[in-house]
Amino acid sequence: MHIADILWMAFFLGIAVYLLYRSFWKKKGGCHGCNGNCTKR
Amino acid sequence: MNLAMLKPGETGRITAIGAIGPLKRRLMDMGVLVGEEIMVRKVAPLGDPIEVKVKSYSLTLRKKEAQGIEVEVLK
Amino acid sequence: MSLEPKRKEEGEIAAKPPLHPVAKRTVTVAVAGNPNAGKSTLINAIAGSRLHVGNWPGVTVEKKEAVFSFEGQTIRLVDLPGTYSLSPYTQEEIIARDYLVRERPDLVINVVDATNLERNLYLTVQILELGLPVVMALNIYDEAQAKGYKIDVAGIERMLGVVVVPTTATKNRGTKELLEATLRTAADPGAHRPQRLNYGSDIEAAIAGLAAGLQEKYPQTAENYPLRWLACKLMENDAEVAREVRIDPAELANEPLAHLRGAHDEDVESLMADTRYGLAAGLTREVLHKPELRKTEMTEKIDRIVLNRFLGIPVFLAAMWLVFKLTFDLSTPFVDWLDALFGGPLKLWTAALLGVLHAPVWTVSLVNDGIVSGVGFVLEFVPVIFAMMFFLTLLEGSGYMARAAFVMDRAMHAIGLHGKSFIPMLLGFGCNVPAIYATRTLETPRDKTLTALLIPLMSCGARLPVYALFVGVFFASHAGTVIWSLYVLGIILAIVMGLIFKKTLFRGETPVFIMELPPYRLPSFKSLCLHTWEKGKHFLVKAGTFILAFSIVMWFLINLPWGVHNQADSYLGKTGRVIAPIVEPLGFGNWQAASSLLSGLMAKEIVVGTMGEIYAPHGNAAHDQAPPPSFGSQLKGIGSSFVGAVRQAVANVTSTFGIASLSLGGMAGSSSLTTAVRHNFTPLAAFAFMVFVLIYPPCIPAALAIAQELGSWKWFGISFFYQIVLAWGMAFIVYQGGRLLGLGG
Repeated sequence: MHIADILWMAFFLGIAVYLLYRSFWKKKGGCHGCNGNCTKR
Repeated sequence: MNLAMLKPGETGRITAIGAIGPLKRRLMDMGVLVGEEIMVRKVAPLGDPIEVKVKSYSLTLRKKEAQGIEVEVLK
Repeated sequence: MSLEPKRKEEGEIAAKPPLHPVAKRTVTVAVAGNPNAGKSTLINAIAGSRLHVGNWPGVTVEKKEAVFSFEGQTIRLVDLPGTYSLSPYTQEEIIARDYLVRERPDLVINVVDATNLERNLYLTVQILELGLPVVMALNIYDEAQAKGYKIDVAGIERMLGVVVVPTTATKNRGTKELLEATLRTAADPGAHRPQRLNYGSDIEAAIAGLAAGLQEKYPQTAENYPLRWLACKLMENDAEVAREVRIDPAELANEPLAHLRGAHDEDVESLMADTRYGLAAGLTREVLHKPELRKTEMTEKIDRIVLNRFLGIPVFLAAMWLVFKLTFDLSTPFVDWLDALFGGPLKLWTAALLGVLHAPVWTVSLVNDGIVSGVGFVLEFVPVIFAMMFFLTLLEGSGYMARAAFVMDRAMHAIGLHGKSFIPMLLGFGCNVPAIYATRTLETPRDKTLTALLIPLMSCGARLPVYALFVGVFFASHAGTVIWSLYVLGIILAIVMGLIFKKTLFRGETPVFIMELPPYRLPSFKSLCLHTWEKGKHFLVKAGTFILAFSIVMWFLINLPWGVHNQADSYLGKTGRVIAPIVEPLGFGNWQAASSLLSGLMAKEIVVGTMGEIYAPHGNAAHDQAPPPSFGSQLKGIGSSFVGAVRQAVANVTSTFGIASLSLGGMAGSSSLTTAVRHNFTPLAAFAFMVFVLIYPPCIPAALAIAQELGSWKWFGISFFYQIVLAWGMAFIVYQGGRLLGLGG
């Protein structure tokens, strides 16, 4: 297993983690974060 | 005579609304008021609900709700 | 009571300080109106893609906002939920009312249906009580004219004190004038304050008494709310308002109010409703002239057939069949096209790209066998999803859906549901996720919950790849029938579970069913597209995020620990072997099937992707067969096959009477996967597998949707549990029952 392999692996896994993180956080976070303050003024 | 007893094509004038609370308010908001004319247009193929015409548009009502609306028959 | 204008009183709640001439500030405009008045269409016509859809805080009702610039002025449109009134009885009304009272937008655009003036004005009258500047969009104007209605627009303006702009949102007429009027009014609100309508001396006296009492005893509160409105609400015993301002209406009892109560048969609330309607009716009589002859309207003519006692149900079934037929006929050629595209040229290009980057050989397998296969197999079904959503949106926008709900209500009622539940459930056949979000249109939590629990049994588009694979291998000659039977099974189970839930978790009265049947309309193409996109995008987003991510993860799980030779020893394999015994009695007790099902818990679409990765040959042996065609000829090939797909789509619709089925050469047809499937499953086991996939929990986005819409994870838990149990049970019955019947094993 060369360093190149490890880097590529990290790259792909990184993408996967980022996407998962984003989709979970977006769904659950969503509008609950702006409770009551949704109107920007 | 209540609304549920009218046949398709018959028109009545509402004399009383027996429902209370949110249902009554909902009906009123939709224009079902004492003194209004209301016509039964159709009955659903399965027997329930019914389509009525009030003011200038159509509404659906279940027979159960229609029973609470007293009418006097016109034409 | 009369419509004579009343002089504005001093002591009226003051507006915010006069607007400095435009440019600097954002003008906030609330858009209010009846459902079916064309509010959405109007907003779409004005703001189009700049619409942002979110949630009203704390509730699961959609909030649409758009910020855009018109003639140098920034405008923020806030679409309030469609309501018939501003009473405190439904969530929509409370939201609309709260927004207008608390946020005090600069202006309200009241969208009024010109063909339904009287009822729409009932809401208008209530909006006017709030004292905000109002501009009226007299919408659906073209239809009113076509009916021969003559509306005295100037008369409405005079009597209500608001600017009225005739509009036809579906044809985008009048929108410019509407925005101009909006800006003019916003720039000078003082000159455009609406008339204070006279409710009759009795009521006015009572209101005045209450108002005086408020100013005396609760000066602070009187400052914060529109005084007249507050007085009216307290007089009507509006519980919400009373609770919020913490005033007991009894405290403000006064003589005129007592007289009011005593003099009439009904309670004050009904009296006020009567009065408001009286005003609306009076106004309508003054300004609207309907033609003498009433020709039978198109809507009535159509409904004679559609809602006919005997034809109603056949028409409904035909409509459903047509939706499915058109969806599949038109989209399957493109599915095949995408399938060939992903399986061929795309894989070649990625391999070439990776080669250029000098990436290690294993990455080609990850990208091609993992990502492209996994995501590609899902993406190629996008045409189906969008086609179905398009036709369902068309049904909804045209007004037919309301008729369908009307026809089906009795049947839905029998399983404890509402006629209106029907629409989200139908959406579920496209994709469960937007279907679950669509339960927002249902009024009570009970309806919402029950419907959302049953939606996963509607076989969604994501399950199609699985069916396509197994049907292609084992049931090719009866493809349509087998898939159809799965859909029907889902529906039957939904009915059964509905009945069970009705007797257990959801005992009690089903709430009332009052629904308007709007006239048939042809929605604008633009709004059709926007709505279709809104529904279909969930599927795309899923593919681009979850599925992509999980495809990557799955590949690693199958190919790690590093250098593992026997797949059964990979992380995935080990997990699969632990689970396999559980599904043994169902006919597919091997670790490959078990792992695939496990991955499917994340998203059904991944099941095939995982299987593909498991059964795919390692390395690029399959790709080295012949020199790949040149880039140019690949592009040409893609182009010509696209044209072929279009032709096929047309041919499907016009020629076949049945529903077209998929051929799927590129991916499911990939020989290694089909061969592997053929070796590892028997036809009976394959069917049991498909039944399992039909029933068990759909996907994480759907789970999140359930938790979000129903407000807690408890319901998600219930849904998850019953679906797993039911899936196992049904697959068991199918497999073991089939064996008993000698159908194989």
